[in-house]
Amino acid sequence: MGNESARIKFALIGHGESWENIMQYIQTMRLPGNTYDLTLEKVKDIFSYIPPRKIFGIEVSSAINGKMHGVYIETFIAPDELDIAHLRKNMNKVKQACALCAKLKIPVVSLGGFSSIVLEAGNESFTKIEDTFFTTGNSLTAAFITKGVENACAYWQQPLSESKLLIIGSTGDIGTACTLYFSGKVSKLLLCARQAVALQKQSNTLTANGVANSCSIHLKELVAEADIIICVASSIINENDFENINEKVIVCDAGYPKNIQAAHIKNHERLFYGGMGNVTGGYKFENNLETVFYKFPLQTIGHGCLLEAVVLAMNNKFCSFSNGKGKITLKALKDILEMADKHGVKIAPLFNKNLIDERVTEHI
Amino acid sequence: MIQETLTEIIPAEQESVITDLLGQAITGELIGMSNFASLAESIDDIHEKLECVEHANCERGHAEGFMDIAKKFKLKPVINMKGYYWNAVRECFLKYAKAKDFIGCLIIQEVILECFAVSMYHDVGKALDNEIGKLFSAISLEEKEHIEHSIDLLQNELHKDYEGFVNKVERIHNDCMTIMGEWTAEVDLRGHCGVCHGDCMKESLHCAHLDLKAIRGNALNLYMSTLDRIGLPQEKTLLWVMNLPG
Repeated sequence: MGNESARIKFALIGHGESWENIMQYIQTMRLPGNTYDLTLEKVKDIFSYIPPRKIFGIEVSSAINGKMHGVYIETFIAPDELDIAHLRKNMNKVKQACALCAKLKIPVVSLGGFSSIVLEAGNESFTKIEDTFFTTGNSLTAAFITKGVENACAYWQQPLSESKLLIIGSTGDIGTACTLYFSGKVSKLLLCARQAVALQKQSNTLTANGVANSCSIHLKELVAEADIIICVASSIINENDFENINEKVIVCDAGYPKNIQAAHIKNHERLFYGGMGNVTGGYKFENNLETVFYKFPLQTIGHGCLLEAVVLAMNNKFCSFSNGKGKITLKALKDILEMADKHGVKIAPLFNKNLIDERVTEHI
Repeated sequence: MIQETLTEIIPAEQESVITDLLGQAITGELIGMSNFASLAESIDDIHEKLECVEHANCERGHAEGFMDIAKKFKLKPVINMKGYYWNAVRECFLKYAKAKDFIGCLIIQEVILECFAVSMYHDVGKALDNEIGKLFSAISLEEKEHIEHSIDLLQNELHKDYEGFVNKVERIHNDCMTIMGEWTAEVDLRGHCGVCHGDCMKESLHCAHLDLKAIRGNALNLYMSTLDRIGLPQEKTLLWVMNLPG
């Protein structure tokens, strides 16, 4: 067991994206001959009571160092319990998962999706437990979002400098990094966030720096003006917010779980999933679970937030690379992309439910 | 005079469900007592024998505590060790006791049954704002010590023979946790339990501010956390739990 622990270089803490996804995974655990009926309702009854645990090992290939091993730690946070009402319970689950990683002596751990909240809340005590470092993964996510938007603009021939960019969730950690990156690169920033005071402060700072912008806590007021939309928050999106969206608008859905599921946008032609990376050397989950647990149009795609710990481990850079809120610098975005690139972890090709830009497959 | 006051504080709609909760608790404690007594008889090691008697006496004390409080509140719980689920648990334990499998017996009694007892008593204790609730809470804490006591011992067993121990716990889980899974399922998968004095109490738990899903979930959480602390492989124990009935 000791040797097993030493072999593990990274861990990914996460939670299921949807019940559909969770059910597919759980069905793989049913033993032959088990005749008890397992319905979604029954799974929902017990799912969030399961303590966080390692559920499978991961093997990732670096372009220069070969294979490296890690583990996936599931928090068992229910996908429909990500709201404020379950905050305390969910925070406890993430903390338990962090403690487990420290017990397993894992050098670096990414806090995927909701779980990054323990670090974004400025909880310094969670940047490191014993010899284990925790990172939100937000730097690599933000870096992949920005590059993804640039790639999408090139693909759909939308000049970035002439575009108005709407950032939904602009005051969050990733939103702030995107705002910083695109300041001065687009014709105007349209900012939307839930917290009116923080939003106004962000807008005032940009104005003081000569960056054209407007802001609102009401998404619908900004959508009609946008040429490009980056979405990194779900709580401020209403069903009819996108009803007047122009078909040529490029939409980057970078949330986890996926943010933009409203009827008016989910079949939008120019919608792509952002913040995603492509492990060109490939990765495998224990028992081939990637085929049910983590399905993408290419089986080399992964979330930037999770890949950040992988990239740090590949570079033997064991640290809390991303933590807190609003601390991501342009240098951090550049550095993490370079570290990723060196080991063959690239920006994912444009994709949504399907692969959009298929030219990338030629290079894999 | 005191007795009259106490009986008056149980709301009428709770009387039936509290009676059944006490019936299940008393029967469960008597099963625990009998289990340890059987084990004391079947094992040869003097120290383990002495420990078993001590544990049996402890469970007897808990059963008496619940019986006393039922009497005090003029409740008449059904005590039926031959009811389907408790009898099945008892037979399962006896299988391991007859084989003089001390560790197997410990896993059934101190891990599986105590996890359910600690968690369920805790939930009942929190829900009932009266003397009965306090007793459930107090016994929950005592039973917790039994779990703590077994963890060190079982960790040693795991380190002696990792694979053998994991396989053993899996066998016992399949034997015993399946019964507990059926017992705590939303509907009685095997018919009436033989302890509830009328219809299944699960349908009336809300009268005592209890929720079956939370009770079952909390018990499974404690069981899985205990297996984690012993050092069992987490992905395996998850698979075991996902194959439980109910």
